[in-house]
Amino acid sequence: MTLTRPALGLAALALALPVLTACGEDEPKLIIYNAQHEQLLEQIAPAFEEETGIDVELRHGKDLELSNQLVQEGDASDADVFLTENSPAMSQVEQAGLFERLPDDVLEVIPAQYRPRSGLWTGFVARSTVLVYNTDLVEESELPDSILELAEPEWAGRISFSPTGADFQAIVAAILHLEGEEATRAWLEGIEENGTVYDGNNVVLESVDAGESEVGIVYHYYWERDRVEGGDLSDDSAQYYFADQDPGAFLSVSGAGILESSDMKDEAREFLEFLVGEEGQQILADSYALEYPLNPAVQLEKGVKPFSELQPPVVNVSDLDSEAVVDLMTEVGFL
Amino acid sequence: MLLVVGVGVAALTLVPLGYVLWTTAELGADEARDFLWRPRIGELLWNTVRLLVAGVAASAVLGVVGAWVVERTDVPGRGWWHGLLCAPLAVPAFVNGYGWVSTTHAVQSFPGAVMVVTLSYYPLVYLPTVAALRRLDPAVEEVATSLGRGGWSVFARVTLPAVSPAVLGGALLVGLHLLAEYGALQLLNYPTLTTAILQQYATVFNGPEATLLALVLVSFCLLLLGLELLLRGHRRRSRVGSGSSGDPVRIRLGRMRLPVLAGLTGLALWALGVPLAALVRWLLRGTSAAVDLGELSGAVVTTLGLAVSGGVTATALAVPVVWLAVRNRGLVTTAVERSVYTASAMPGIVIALALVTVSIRLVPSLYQTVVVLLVGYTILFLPRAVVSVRSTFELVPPGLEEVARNLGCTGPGVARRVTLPLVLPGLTAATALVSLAVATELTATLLLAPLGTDTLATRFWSDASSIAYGAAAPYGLALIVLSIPSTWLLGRLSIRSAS
Amino acid sequence: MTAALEIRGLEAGYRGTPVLRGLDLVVPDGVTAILGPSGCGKTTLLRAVAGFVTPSAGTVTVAGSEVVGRRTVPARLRGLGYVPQDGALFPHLSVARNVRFGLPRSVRDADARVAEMLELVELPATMATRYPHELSGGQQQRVALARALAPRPRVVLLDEPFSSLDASLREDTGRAVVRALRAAGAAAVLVTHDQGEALSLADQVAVMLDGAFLQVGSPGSVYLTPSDPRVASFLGHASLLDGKVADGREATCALGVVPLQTTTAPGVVRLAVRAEQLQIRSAGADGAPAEVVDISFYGHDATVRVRLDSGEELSARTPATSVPTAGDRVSVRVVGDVVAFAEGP
Repeated sequence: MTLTRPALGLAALALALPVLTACGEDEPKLIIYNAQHEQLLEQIAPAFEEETGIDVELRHGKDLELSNQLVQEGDASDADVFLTENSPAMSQVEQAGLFERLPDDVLEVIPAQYRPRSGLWTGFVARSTVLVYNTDLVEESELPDSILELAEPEWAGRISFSPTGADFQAIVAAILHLEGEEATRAWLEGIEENGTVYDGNNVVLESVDAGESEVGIVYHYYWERDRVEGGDLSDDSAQYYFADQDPGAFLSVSGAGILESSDMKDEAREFLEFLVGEEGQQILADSYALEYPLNPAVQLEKGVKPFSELQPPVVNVSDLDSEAVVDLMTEVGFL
Repeated sequence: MLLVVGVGVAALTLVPLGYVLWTTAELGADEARDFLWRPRIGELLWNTVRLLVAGVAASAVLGVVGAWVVERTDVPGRGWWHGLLCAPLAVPAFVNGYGWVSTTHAVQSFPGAVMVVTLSYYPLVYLPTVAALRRLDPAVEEVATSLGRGGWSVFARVTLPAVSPAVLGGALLVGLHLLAEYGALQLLNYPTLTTAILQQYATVFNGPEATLLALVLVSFCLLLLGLELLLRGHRRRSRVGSGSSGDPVRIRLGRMRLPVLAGLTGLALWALGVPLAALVRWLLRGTSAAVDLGELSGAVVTTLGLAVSGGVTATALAVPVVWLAVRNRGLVTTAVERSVYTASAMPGIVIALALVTVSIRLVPSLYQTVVVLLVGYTILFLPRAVVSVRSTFELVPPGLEEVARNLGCTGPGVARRVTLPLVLPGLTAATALVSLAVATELTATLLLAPLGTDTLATRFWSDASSIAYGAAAPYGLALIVLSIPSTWLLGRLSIRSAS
Repeated sequence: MTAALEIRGLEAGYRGTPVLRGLDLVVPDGVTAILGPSGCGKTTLLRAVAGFVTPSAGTVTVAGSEVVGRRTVPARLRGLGYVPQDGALFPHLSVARNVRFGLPRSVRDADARVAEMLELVELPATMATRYPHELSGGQQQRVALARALAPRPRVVLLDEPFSSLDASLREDTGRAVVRALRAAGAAAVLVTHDQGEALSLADQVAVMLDGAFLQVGSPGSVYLTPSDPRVASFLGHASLLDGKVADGREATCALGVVPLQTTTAPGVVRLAVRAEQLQIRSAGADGAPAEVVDISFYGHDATVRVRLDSGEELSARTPATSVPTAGDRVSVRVVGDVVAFAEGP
């Protein structure tokens, strides 16, 4: 036994204290509850700090984890800004009455279908639903015209998806809005029967690329990002975009909003302005995120299917109901 | 005063159980039944139970056979094999799962899940079994031999019953770990109650559904504890008389030597080689592996800070509990000590869920602070701290203090000149053990760490669970390095406790 | 009739260090004690016979059949009873199950055999259902013997079986064990470092030192006629004195002229004077003048250590009624014949 020195324990404690107290610094920071990809915010936040001199503190989590946390925290929340990957979590916080209305100059930048009628928050990037398929196992011509067909018996044992994530739940929310509760339940039951469940869209992508399932329901950027990174998970697969306003062509909107309880609302507004402004949007477009900027003045290049060629169904973000989706998915047995 | 602190600590450790029961009661029976009486829950239960049974059985077999080979045969290089057989403890289960999943997808199945958790947790059976075999008077086995029993019969009829309390205790630990395991099973895509609770949490935060699942999980843990008590029975199996534990007669492997060596090598390769090779491979070629030294060192500093604070807190709180139990035996003090032990049946996820809710509802100012995280670690690891602190305090018989008083020492003088020097090494060891456990904790940390607080485990997890294997590798290696000292300590203790 | 146990030229060692250096021993019926200080190799001898240590040379024959020699019979097939220190009862089995452990499954009247064995070792039959931790040390030893005797071995090996018992228990248990062994008709090898135990319980005593036997014989012969000064000093607490023999029947030493037990060739000898042969008398009386160094009082008698004026220190045993005090001047005299050993060349 070598740990005989009393000093050792005390020294270790002394070592630990500064680390623990480092969390509470004096200077006020703009606190962002961020459910968007961490890497994305780590590119845009420094740019914003440099431009405005406002310090930003990021706290990462998942869409519904953070939205639920905000609802629980209520007025006591530290958060100034809330960013999500998908809109249902935004709707939840909106319904709890926690958002501050955004100024018009922020709202007007983004086309109306990508923000709620209330003006309490706005979309800032969007991602398209796709079917990623293993090119050795399936021909593109075999792929269905509609995502709803994946519930048919012919797809038994061939599909995979990640139902526990907010991404998939947003897609379900769109289907629920477009097709109604009965059809959505039937569809969920069908794919539950047909598919393999994974946790995480990357895992879905990997399983398709490895040939463990033939097709997977994900968003477009997973496959595109892997292409950019070297193609470990995308070399034996390709993406298929649904067309003709099929629910499978659903475009999910990442939202941003300001909390009513914020004590740094001006700084928060500056951040949102930056986020939807051309400069911020260009940073997003150039970043590794590969999501579609929603400011029409900025275009996503990098070989991703152009925004203008997408044929998404018309869904207003105000109409997506996350609570009903969770109930329905619990009922079917995904949760 | 001491009693107040002790009762306070006990109350704290009972928070998770209280929370689960309270929330369930609040929910109402109908709603609970509707949620629990579903095929999905049946599937989770079936997955959990079969993993539990197969994992515990496989760990017990592997642990006992390994201990027997090392302690009772003439296999060459026994010291090395002992080290290698303990070593998987230094690879956190979720790092092991990562190693396997990133090598082959074949492990994403029931047999795969059983294999990976067994490789991670069999040392929990191996270590106490080795210690028990060391303590066992070899004369007992010799007498059985002289009475005409062959090697196998001696093992089955004498050795195994004699070490069975140790094996059973180890198996119980494996069971509790399996019930609480999140990271490895999530990577193996094997849904159990625990992974489902975390999914519930990610979807609907701490909704009543997560609590209901937690209730089921806690019931399992308590069931396991009860089962172990029942199997152990009241019979004493400790050695009778003092006896000398001389060198036991070792069984000559003879022609079996090569197969045994091959088996041991295979086990080491499976349990250590695969995860380590995967880490190194991804470190070298990972596409997302550009190691950000700043982030890595940041995570190391955060992890060490939390680890040391957690270790010190848990040990400091263990002292009054142990002091009461050792020096002031009574109904209340015994109850205090027991209540601490019940926390060992609480999976990290349940403790975390309880603290999230309790802190939001009762002390919102503490929610999302390090304080709650440290409370979580304390509840989670207090049983370990109490065990080591207790063994330390038993080294200081009251007689010593009486002698010191008799020689003219004042109360504080006795503490400073006699008690403290004697218990400090033990307290430091307890702190170290808890610290290292904190350093590799994943589940509770995921829920309780203030947003933006990255530990090695959570950084590893966020990368590994999104298939960024390369990015995860440096954090995985750092976790292993951090786990080596406690593993080494445990390996040594298992051998030394005998002599 | 063949001897119960016969050992010829037995050698054994650990990692190159010899522990047993060519031992020969014939164990007839009755109890043979192997007596020696700790570390002399007596436990190794017992374990070599039992089959837990592999000898490097020599043979061991049990009741006429060789178990070590041209081929080595495994320990479990040697048919030897074995009672280690502390008894080593199986802690998870009751007394009855301990005793029947060595009986083949085919034994029908196992219960009767258990009862018989318990009776043999003088334990009440009600003890059969108890567990080892509920027994006293002496009872545990008796159960251990019953367990060893149950399969009817020809020889029972006992390794310091009484060393962990209280002095008061030791004697009773020892006698009971010997009675049981005789009743069962088993020969026994008893390893001990306690000369009282060896002399009082055994029919034959083998004195062992440094891996070799110094003397094997009846208790009386090894005590009264030691063949080696080391045997004398170990067994009788004998004091060793230098002396000189002139005519073969007497020797001259610091105590004056003393009679010898056997005729000895003239020359320099080593004399062994047992404690009870030395008589302490008041100063001035007939004998060698000396001073009392210290005294150990035992109640029934006392051991008195004296320093002769010529410098030698001796131990004497005196009755409790006439114990001097330290520092007293006394004179010392020898009673009876003294054993002499010719000094080596």
